[in-house]
Amino acid sequence: MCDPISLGSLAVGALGSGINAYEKNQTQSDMVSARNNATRQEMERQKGFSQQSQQAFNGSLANFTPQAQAASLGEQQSRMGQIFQNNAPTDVGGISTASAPRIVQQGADRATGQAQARQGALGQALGNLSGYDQRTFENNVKLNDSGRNIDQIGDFAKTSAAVNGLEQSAAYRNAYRPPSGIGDLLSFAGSMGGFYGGKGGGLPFSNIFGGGSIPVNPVGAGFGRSPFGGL
Amino acid sequence: MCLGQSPPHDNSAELARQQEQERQARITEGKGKIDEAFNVFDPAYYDKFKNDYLAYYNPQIDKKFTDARQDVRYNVARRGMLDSTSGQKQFGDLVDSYGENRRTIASNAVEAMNKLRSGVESAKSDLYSQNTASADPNLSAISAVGRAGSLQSPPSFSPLGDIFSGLVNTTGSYIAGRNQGLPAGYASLFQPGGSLAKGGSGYKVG
Repeated sequence: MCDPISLGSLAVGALGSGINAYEKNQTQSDMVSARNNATRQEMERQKGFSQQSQQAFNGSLANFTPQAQAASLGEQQSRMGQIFQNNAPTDVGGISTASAPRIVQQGADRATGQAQARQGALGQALGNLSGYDQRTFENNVKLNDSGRNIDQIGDFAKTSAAVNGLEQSAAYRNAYRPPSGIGDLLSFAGSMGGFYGGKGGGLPFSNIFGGGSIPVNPVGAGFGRSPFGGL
Repeated sequence: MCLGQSPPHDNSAELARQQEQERQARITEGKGKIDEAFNVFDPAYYDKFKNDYLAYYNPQIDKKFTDARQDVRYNVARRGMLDSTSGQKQFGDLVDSYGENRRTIASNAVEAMNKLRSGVESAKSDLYSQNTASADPNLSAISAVGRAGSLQSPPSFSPLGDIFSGLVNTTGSYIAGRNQGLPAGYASLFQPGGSLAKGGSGYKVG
């Protein structure tokens, strides 16, 4: 075992095994790295979707700050008040005759004027009341709008994630590199060298190629055959 | 020797990613077309709807008010109270009722406007869903135009009922009640054979 051929063969065989292990590890590392890269790319995409959704959500949220809601309420109350006041009766006429006593005529004018003033005040009061409902309605319309946008971004994100499942598998598979064979060749050479060294000289292939005698193993008849099954 | 030969490249994921990107582009394009089709439903559109609503109901109220005012006038005139403060009070109540009805109509107009807007928003949401599901902008555009057209069809509105009759009847009853308490000299005018019973109110009105 200490002859140079045996030691050399041992070293070559070990080198072959080492190369095999290295290549296997390298391939495994490349495959995992490729899958991780695919995952990272998807995470970047998802980050973009998340930012878009966040932007839409922040827009909705900004609408619900106390200041924004107060401004919206004021706007809607003013708008509603205007609608009701603009629809108040303007010309109501009267029932007095031209010959009515002056005091009656004055009373009629006063009553009509007061009724008109009441219409204006009631219109604004109703506008103030309706403004709350209208603000809620406007809020809901805006929420609905941002909800639609967020739903769509969510759909993009969901489908992209589903595609990424395929991408990860494909990247993992595509990163596979078969062993170069150098390791196997070296291992094989090492084995052959070891065999040669063990038998004490003589090429193990001599019987294959028709030259030399077949080495006979002194331990058992079965080992006297060629390593290739007695060709 | 086939040492070191790589397995065939799996490009199924690239194809899937490409398809997904195309799908997203189609959805975005479809969304743009939907938004464009729904641009017609702007504040001016709803404002016009509200004005159309008022234009339908206000004249009905106005006519009913005019009729009711005439009835009040006849009622008080028949009882000789046309130029009395009591008659004016009845008229003031009628004006208040008129204003209240006009406010109710305006309130109903706002409600109808909001209902219309809800319907439009709902249709838009449906189209967004369809756009995402089909990812076919051409189909979405066709559907959007169809929906937008159907939303512009006029709804049916019921005419107003006799909204002032209660007030006029009440006015009549009120005046009849007041009649019971009139001084004998005035009350006799309304008795059979009295001067007002024979020739009507004697006032030229209207």
